[in-house]
Amino acid sequence: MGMWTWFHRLASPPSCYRTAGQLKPWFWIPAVLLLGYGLGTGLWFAPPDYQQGDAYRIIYIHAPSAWLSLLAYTTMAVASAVALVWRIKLAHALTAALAPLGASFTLLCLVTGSLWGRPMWGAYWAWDARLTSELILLFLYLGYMALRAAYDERERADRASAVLAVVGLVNVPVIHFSVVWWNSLHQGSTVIRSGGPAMPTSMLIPLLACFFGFTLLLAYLACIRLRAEIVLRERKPTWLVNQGRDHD
Amino acid sequence: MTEIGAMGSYGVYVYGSYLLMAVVVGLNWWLSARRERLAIEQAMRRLAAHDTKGETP
Repeated sequence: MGMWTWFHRLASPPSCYRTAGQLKPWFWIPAVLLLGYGLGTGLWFAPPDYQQGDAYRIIYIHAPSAWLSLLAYTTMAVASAVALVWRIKLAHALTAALAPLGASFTLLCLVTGSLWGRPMWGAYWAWDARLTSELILLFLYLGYMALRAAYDERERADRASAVLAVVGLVNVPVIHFSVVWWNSLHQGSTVIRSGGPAMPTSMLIPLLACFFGFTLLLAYLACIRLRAEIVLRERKPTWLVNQGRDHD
Repeated sequence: MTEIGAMGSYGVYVYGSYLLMAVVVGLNWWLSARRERLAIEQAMRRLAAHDTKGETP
């Protein structure tokens, strides 16, 4: 099967619904294993940091949730651009499915960042470039969802919210490079940096497990939400009866 | 191994973060699964009633 044939087949709602269902266990099972290892090791077995002591253990939640906040938004922006240019409704469905997930992980990132900032910086919040741009990302997610909810007609909601998602993408590189461009209170990159990661292997491996685990968790949750979006958008999903609701 | 309570004053921030993560992940999972189940049930009811209006006119 050619790539385009495969792509067109996947872009049909019944096929995408079925594929998302089939992918779910491939995402959640390794996610549970990776997060069990990564979070458990990060919390109890990784050595304390020489400067921050045990407080640094928040990184095992904070950094992956920051990554998910950017990954979900970038995926939303790309899917929205695809939906606007090629009029693929499934891309709108994917964007709508990802928004609440991205928003919740952005909120988790901000709150765990505050909980880390209090003992390290002496403040829960500072109007710092990194913190402020991440807060703007949360507002973009909330704005996206509010805009969708403001329209009764789904097609208009899709178009308007897709434009917002694409425009908001400009904030993503600002978040990433904020610690480089401005004199930030926030520490610089720990994992992806020139000269290699700034942490020993005993801390790094569980962190990488958390990054992969949380990414798979997001994929799993996105599959569930995408299936719901697909069914809600179908006028008469007779194929649902043929597939059987439990035949993933 | 770090024992519970051995983190001193940092423990509340570290364990608070882990607890919050568990709540966020749990809520996301529960709400997503619920949304999927309700969407399917709604579609099944629509099909049973031969209602072809759906959500999108």
